Amino acid sequence: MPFRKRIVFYLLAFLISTVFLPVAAAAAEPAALLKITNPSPALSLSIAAAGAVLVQELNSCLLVCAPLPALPRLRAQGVAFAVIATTGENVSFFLLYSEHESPLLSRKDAIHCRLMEDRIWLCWTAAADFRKYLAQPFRLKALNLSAALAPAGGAEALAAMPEKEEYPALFQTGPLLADLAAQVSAEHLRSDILTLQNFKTRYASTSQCEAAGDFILKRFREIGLAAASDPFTFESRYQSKNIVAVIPGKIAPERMVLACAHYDSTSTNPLLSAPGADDNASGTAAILELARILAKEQFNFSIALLCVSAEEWGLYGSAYYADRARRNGDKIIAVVNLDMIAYPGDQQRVLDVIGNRQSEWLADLFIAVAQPHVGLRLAKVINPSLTWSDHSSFWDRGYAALCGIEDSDNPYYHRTSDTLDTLDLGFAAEAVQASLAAVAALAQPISTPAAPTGLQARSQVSASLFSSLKTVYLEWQANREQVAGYHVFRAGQSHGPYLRLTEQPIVQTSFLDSLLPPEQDYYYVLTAVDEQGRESNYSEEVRDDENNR
Amino acid sequence: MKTTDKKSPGISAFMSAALLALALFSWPAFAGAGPVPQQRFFIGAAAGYFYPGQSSFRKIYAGPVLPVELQLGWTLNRKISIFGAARYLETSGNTVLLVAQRPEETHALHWRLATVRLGMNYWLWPSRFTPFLGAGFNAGFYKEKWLDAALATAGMATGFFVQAGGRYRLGRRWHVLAQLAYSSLPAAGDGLDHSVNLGGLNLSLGLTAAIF
Repeated sequence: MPFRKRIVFYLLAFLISTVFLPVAAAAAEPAALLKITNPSPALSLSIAAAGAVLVQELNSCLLVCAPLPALPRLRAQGVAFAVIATTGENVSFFLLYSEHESPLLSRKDAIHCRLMEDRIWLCWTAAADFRKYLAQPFRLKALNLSAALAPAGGAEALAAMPEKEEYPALFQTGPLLADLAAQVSAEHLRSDILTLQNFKTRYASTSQCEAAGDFILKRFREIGLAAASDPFTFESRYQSKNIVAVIPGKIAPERMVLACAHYDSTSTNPLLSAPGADDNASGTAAILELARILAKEQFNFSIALLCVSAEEWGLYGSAYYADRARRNGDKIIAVVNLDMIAYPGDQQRVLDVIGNRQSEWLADLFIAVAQPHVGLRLAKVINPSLTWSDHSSFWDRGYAALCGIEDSDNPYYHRTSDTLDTLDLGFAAEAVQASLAAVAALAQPISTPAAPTGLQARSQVSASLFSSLKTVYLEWQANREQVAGYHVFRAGQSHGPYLRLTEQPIVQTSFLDSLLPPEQDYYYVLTAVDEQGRESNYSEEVRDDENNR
Repeated sequence: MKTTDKKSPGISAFMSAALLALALFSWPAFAGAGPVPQQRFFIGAAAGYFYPGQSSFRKIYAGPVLPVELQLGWTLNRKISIFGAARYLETSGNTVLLVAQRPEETHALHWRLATVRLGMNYWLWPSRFTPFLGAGFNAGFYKEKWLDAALATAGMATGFFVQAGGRYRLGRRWHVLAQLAYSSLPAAGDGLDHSVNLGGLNLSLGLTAAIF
């Protein structure tokens, strides 16, 4: 065997033996779920070397799934851990948030819960109906023990961001963002929340939830977006669907900013009544409002508007979407998840912007871009334990994601009384404005320079005995922003079609159009061209003698 | 917008002055009239001053216009001669602005006019100085060119002329010729005016020679 081939063979063998086989074995063989409380910087290497996978990052610890034979190796490498549970057939693991002292109402024999952090429990069970034994309200995240968390998500997402040299206009889009934010309508939000609430329940697996999905799909299509239903199966027996619409980017459509919200709901009686007005018709209505406003604009990057289902069951819809995105290598620049944005509470009007450590840049950016457009306060919260909404699925797959959520305890949370009349739509509208500004800035509006203003035209005719020619003098005001120059257009009739008179953008703010047949009227418009060659809309049109004295 | 041609108040004064000059010039001939030469054909050359008949012409081509002319004539009898002449003039000028917004704008022009004249002179009395009256037809071939633009207009205009003058015999063959002619050469304009008279007053002074 040639030397080079031998090297490749050994490398492949090493990879299979150290990476693929242990991961496969972790899914197939009995394994242990470990809690590691003092992770060292080199821990990820030790975990990989032992054939274990990182399942969940929490604020104070990591949850790691390791094949039983790997435990001595981990110990040998100096990793301190506690075995929480061992995996078994048909046993599902969940992360559970509960404010009760004991999260279980009953069936403690079949449902096992261990406190991981303050109010955060790791639960595992083979009982399919375990939810009804949980003390309400609760929040769930299903853990996938066979899939390791994607590493260094934030850094990877940052790498997907454009170079500043490439797009120097990044985030310098204040006036445009303000214009967009001003279009947010509380009335639209109210209407969509009411429609979603009127499905009675949107509990995933119910027909009403499916109908709600159809409604969202219809709304996207009414707006004029390419939208699709994306069905998936969860917990091996239930069907639901995500609804996704895309505003294609103009410069780099493969790069994507994703705004998402779950449209399913739950309550203490989820099969019959789960209006879920705040949780999360508010977020879903926000996504529809983003679609309505952003669909009219053009961006460098694509914007995906995603309404996911089965969040209340354990983030299944978003996990399905994020898994596939990671497998496909989708370049998701950032994820903005909106979950419960319409109940500000009595005292404060604060929208929490939750990120993990890798997404802190995104939270900072969100606040920097959005805060000028809203009166509510945007509060950064960096806490990887706040995994109770769909942003967490994207964290797990290595994407930068944040969650915008009201900073209050909604007393109607997961109850049949979570209805529109309890909401503050003014607060919701501001939350949507903030999200819209951030999403638009991340997607980079094709921020053509403003159309030139102050165009004035004077014309005169020079005559000889047998000929006469018209000369038109144009003057205008320089754009306030930096532009490369201006193009001048002329038409023989009002509103064109216009003929461009300048081969290259001209720097000066005047133009002489001469030697024209004098009998005709001429109409002129201008465009401004920025350093990237992006051209503004036409200026106001002027007739050639419009400003004659 | 076009301007309208206005009669220049200077034309009558100019004509009066020219006729007076002609009369003074010819006065000595009345005192010493000699025998009229018997040769029937003569040629001549003259140069002079052209005063355009249309104000728009004068406005555009404000500088002096100095035409030159060649004549070939045939004396039919003591009183009447016929002649053909070719006159050429050129000048430069500048465009005129209609409703000026930027008075500084100007385009340089060049004007050429070649005129062929066919006419008849009536010699009033044979003497050393012989005054005459004449009339005829003329055809002008013109070209106006914008020097800073690819724009030129060429064409032809026809009209009539009347003239008066006299000749003073210097010897057996030679005469000094002085004449004042008014010509009309109407053409359709597309500039300052809709109609243009390319003619005007032409005062010329030259020499003729009887050839056989």
